[in-house]
Amino acid sequence: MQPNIFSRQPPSFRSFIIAVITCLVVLFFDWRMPYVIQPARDVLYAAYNPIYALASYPVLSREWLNQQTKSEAQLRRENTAMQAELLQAQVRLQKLSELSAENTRLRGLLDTPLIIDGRMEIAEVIGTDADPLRHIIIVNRGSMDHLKVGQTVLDDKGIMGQIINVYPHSSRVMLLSDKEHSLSVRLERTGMRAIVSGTGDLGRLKMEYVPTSANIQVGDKVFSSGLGEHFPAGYAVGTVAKIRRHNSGEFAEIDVTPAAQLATGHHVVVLFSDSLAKEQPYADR
Amino acid sequence: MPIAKLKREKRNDPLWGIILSVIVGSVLMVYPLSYDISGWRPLFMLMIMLFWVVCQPTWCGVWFAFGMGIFTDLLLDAPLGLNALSFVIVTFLTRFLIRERRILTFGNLWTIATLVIIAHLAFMWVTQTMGGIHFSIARHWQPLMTSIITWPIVYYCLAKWRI
Repeated sequence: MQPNIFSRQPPSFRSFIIAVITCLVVLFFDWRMPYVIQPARDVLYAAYNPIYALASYPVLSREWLNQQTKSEAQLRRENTAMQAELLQAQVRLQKLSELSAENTRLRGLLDTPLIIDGRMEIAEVIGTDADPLRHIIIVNRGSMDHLKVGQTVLDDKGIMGQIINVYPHSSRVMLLSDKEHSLSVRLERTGMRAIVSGTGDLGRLKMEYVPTSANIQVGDKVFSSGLGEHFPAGYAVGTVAKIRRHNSGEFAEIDVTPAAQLATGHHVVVLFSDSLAKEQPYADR
Repeated sequence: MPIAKLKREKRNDPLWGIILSVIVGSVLMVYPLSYDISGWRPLFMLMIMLFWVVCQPTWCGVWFAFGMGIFTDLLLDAPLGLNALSFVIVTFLTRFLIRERRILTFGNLWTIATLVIIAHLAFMWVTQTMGGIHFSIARHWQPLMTSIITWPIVYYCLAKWRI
C-alpha cells in the first residue's frame, strides 16, 4: 500500500469547506448577478461546441444512412409528396406581390426625411384600446425589443404619439389626439412656441394659450419644438386648419390637423434617440 | 504524489483515462434525445466523477468533484454551482465514510454508487424544491434506476485505470 493513499489519512476537511464555500459563492453570483457569470458562460459555450457537435454526429450519420439506404418505392413516395408541396408553394408565391407592396410601404417609412438620426424600431399596430374614449393603440413591440415608456412614435408623415406602457411583446401608444395628451410645438413660419393638445377627435388637435393678437395663419406648419425634452425637435405635428379669434376671450381658438395618419396608420416607427430632444434641426428657418 | 505515480508504470497513468471519460460522459449528457426518453438519461457525469474519486483518490479529490460539477452545470445550463455543491458534498461524505474500510470489490462499489446517486438526487430534489422550481417528481427519480443499471458498464469501461 502506498503511504499517500487516502484510506490511511483523514479526509481533508479544509479543502472540503473551501470547495463548499466556493460553490455557494458561485451560486450566489449566478443568482443575484448573472451578468457577472455571463461572459464566462459565453466563452465556455463556445468551448463546448465540439462536444455538442460530437453529440449530434450520430444523429447526422443516421440521417445520412437513411438517405443511402432508401428504396425506389420510398423515393417515388417522396417524389409525390414533394410535388404536392411544390404546388402549395407556388400558390403561396402568388401572395408575393402583396408582400412586395408592403415592402415598398415599409421602405417609404425608412426613407422618410423625418427621421434624422438614431436607432429606430418599426412596429405594427395590432390593436386599439378597449376604451373608446381613449386614443391608444397597441403595437407589436415591447420590452423584449428594448422599448421604454416615453419613447416617441412616428409614422412616415409625422409624430403619432408616445409610448405609455411597455409589456414584453407589446406596448401601448397614446396618440396626439387623446384628450390627455399635449406636446410643445413651434410654428415653422414664425418660430412661435405653443402647446398642442388632443381633443378626442382623431382629425383635430387644438393649439392652446395663443393670444388673439399672435401672428398665425391658416396653413402654417407646426413642428415639435423639443422643449420639455420629451419629444425630439423638428418632427411634423400638423397644419393649422382654422383660427377663431373671439373678442371675448384672451386666447385664440386654433385647430390643427395632425400630419400623422392617426386613424389609418398601420406601420409605425419607434424612435430611440432621446438626445435629439436638445437639437433644433430647423432652427435656422 | 502524482509525480511519483507518473514515474511508475505508464500503463496505469489515469490522466488520459480521466480526460477521455469526461469527454465521453459530457457527450452522453448532451446527446439529443426526445423529451420522454431524456428523463431516463443516467447521471453519467456523477458516475464518472465517483469512479475516479473512489478508485483514484490520489488523483481526484474534492476539487475534481468541484470542477466536474461546474462543468456539468455549464453543460446542462443549470444554476451555476448547484451540481458542483452536490458533487462536492457526496464526494466528501463518500470518502469520509469509507476511509477505514476501503474494500472496493465490484459489489461494494455498486452499493456505494447506488447510495451516492440516491444522495445526489435527494440533494437536487431538496434544493430545487427550495428554489421554487416546479418539476415532475417521477421524472426527477427516473435517472436513479438507469444510473444503477448503467454503473457496471461505466465500471468495466474504466476499470483498467483503477488501483
